[in-house]
Amino acid sequence: MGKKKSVALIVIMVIVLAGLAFISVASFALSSPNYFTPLISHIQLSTDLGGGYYTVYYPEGVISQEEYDLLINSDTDSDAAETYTRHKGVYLSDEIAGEDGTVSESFQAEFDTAFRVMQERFEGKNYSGYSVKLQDDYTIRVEIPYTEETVSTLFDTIGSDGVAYFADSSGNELMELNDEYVRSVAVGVGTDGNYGLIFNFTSEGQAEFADVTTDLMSSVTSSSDTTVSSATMYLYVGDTAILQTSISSVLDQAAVYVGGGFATPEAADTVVCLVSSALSEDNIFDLTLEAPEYYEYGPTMGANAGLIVAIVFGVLTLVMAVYSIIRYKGMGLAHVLGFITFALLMILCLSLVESVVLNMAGVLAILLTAALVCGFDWYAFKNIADEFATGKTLTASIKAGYKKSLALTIDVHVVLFVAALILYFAATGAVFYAATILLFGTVLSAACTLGVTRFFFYVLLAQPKNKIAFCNFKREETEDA
Amino acid sequence: MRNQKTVFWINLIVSLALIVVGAFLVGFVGFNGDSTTSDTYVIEVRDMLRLTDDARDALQDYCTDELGDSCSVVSVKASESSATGATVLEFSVTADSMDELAAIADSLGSSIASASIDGVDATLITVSYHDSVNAPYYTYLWRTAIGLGAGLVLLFLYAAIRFKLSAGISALVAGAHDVLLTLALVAIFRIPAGVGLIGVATFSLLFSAFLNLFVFNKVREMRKTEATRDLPAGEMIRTAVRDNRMVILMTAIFAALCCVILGAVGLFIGLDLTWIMLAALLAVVVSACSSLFLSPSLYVVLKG
Repeated sequence: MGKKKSVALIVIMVIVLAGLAFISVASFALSSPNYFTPLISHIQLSTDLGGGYYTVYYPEGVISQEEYDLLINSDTDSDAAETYTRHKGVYLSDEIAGEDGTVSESFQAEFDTAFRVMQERFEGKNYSGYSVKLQDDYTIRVEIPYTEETVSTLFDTIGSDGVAYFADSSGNELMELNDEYVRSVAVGVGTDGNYGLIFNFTSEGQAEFADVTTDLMSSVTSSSDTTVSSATMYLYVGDTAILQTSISSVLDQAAVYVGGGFATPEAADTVVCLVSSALSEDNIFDLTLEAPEYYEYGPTMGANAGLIVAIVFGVLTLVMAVYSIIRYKGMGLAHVLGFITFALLMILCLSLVESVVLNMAGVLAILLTAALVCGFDWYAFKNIADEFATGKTLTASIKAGYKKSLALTIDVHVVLFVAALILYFAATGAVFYAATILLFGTVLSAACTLGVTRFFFYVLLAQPKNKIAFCNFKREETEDA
Repeated sequence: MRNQKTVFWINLIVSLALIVVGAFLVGFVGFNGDSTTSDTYVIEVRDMLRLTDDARDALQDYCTDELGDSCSVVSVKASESSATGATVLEFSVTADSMDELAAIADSLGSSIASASIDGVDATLITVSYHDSVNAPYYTYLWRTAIGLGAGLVLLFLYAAIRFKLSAGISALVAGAHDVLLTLALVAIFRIPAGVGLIGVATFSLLFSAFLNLFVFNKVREMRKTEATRDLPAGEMIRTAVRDNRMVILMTAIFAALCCVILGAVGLFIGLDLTWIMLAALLAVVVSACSSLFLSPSLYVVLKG
């Protein structure tokens, strides 16, 4: 490669990298009042690195100490002291607890079911970092990461009790949703761009739903109002109407899309978790759970944990760059540029891929892929040095060194990529998100190791007069290439 | 050769002993949960209004000092109510019983009522207490464990096809060894662990695969080269380890450095970070050691 061409390429690449680095970390004013926020601030963080929300579900008949104090101090309900019995940090009403504090068996059984079902529902939400805890024996504390859903709606919806059923506009049950009728429920997208639910019916469910829609449509045709061409159908769980949809024809099919008008897939997914859970008779509980307030809390790993992790990675990159350049000189510089490309592309993916949430397992996945880039670049340099030591020319050594590294580089990347793919499909929660990061981290690592670093190396190699010294090699005779 | 076999047996016996001890500990008392997963006693201090940051810090410091006289404060969590903006401070504390916890909460409440804390109106403060029991993760852990198992089998198949059966078995044993030994050491040293531990186990397996394949690739190369083809397995693997030691060590050192720095930072911002990084550091050390000692010596044993 000619020197001029090499200089041009170096300048272009450095400008591209500087531009990427700038939009990754810098914030600047656009036309007022808009601001450009750096890519790094768009990375979604899990509860451990970014905090989230929590709430406490109080079953009917259980109140908090604050609520008890308010009742005691109010004029209207002065018999609260007789009505409620203290149990740990909460108060139990006399409807569920005797004077000696013994809780009724029916309440205990319903609460146990409710607690188990709430665990399953939140597990079904597949949050990266969440917890469901039993607080004071009879309340349920739930912690979740930041979400785009309306948090109060999320907590209220997912805590609904009772069976799921379709109902007409008067609230009359049309069809119960249970595992005899419904095989599964999934999130779907409507023609209006909003999200809803796809019900996969069994043959019995299909027939039942066809009957329901037939009845609804006959009520429309028999209506005196000729302008009405569709009927409204509601999805209820217990006493709560979860969504409403319009039925404009008889639907006799195995899979039916029921539009819910949800703006985000997450909101539709919450209803899917709720309905899927309510399909099984074992998961039905008759206990109203109230989440009167929700709270916002900081990262569990400590304040600004996400930012600190980013700074530590920055400092380590600097240490690694100094080590590489001292040990491998020009080759090390090529590696540093390749690594910076990897890091910036990683930030780009983390911030732009919506399904990625960064947690501590994800940080370890980034660490692993960063180790891959370093390990394989250094491995290639070692092979080049070995080849050079056998007496080959520098050009031949580079070619042979990279050729020697190719098989292992591909092997390891393929193994890690397929392992990440397995984890992506098998795991849920924290490891699912780590596997997502590992998937594109492995691809980026392979691209940077096999392509970008090598490209930078060739471009940089065109510049120095003494190419052998540039690579930190020593030989008496001059290089011919 | 004999030396390699001795290394393998010593390595295996020590590892197995540690894994068995760790398994017993996990089976009988479980892992030591971190602040997010352990069962805790909590004292909740709530101001009905939103406190300024300075006032909240002053209240937190005051409560920490007061609680420090009667129990030890494990962690503090500050949050804010969505509806009222109320500031809530939750102190995870150690107490022998709910009665003791109630007494501590009462004492703190009285103390705050008679104290003068900058920016805090004591009449708006309520102090309550709770016990909190963490629910286990069901399908979450099982599905991930199945994924890890499938990953391990994949590693074995790939290594067995690309590097011959003995290398596949060595990589399989090393991968399983690294994950189990890391988890066992976390259990034995009672390192507080949360959900992130499953991430550490995954990291351990993949890092182990990465380092082990370095060594077996060299063996494959030597087997293809005329001059080294007929070398005995022990000699071949020794050369492979010697040849890749620097790259493996430097990669492991940088990964370990990352864990050490983040762990040190955790001492100042939140101990959970320190604990997970300590577990990750163990994973790095175990994986590096197994790729340099265990799997090469196992390879020699398998090759007879």
